[in-house]
Amino acid sequence: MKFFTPELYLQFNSTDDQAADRADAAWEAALAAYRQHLADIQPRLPSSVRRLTEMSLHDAELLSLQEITEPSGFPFPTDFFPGPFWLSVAVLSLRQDNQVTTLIYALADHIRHHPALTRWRFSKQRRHWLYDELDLAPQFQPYRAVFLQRILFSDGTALEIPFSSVLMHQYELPVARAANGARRPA
Amino acid sequence: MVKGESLNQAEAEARRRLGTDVVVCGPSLAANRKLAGTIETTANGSAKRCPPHDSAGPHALPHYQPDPRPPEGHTFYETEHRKAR
Repeated sequence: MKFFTPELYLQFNSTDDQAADRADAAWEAALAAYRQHLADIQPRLPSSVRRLTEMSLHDAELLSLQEITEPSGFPFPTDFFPGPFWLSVAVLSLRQDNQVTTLIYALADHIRHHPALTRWRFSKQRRHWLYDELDLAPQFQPYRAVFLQRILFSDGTALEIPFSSVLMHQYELPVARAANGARRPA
Repeated sequence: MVKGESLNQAEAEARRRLGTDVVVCGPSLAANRKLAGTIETTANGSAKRCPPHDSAGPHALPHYQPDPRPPEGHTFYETEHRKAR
């Protein structure tokens, strides 16, 4: 993470008032810096990636994360391009209240997984989305439009997802009725 | 975050046990943060403090939430520059 780092998150949770006040100010500065960063790269973002930056997924529970690589049909004659053509996608499914959101990324490279800091003291149960950042993937600039989403999760781990495009799908879960007649998510 | 009816501390804790959001309002960041933490930990035990994210909008507030969940919901608190509507 570049702006909303696990270190800053831990400082924000300091039990010392002065340290917590400093972290609050540092977080506001990080927010302002991120806002400026997004404004700077906005012209280069396709509409689907712009929508990704507008989604509020804080507290969404991560239901599943899969990185899938499969061979794909290729439209050119094989004597022109004899090698196999592969497609790689990442599928993230998240739940917020009664809604499931699925993000499908066309990957430009493998997802990078970053472990939690050893001093990360928060629960590792029910991993959920804390904060994310959108960036341009530096190693591909300026030749390809490749983006990078960095996500900090509640167990202290972080992902870096390098992708060229993203699809989003959302649906509402059916609401069941409990034995006492109360409505509850299925 | 939009304010509702005023609550005392005991009422706020009861709301939090039910998973409903509450917000601590006032001019002092430190006082609001302390009271929000007390409400959340009294209601639900272990809690963590989360700063606001830009995508949640200009009225997003920092908050406490149970760690781990359930229940759902948050104890938000105002800062010097961020206020509930």
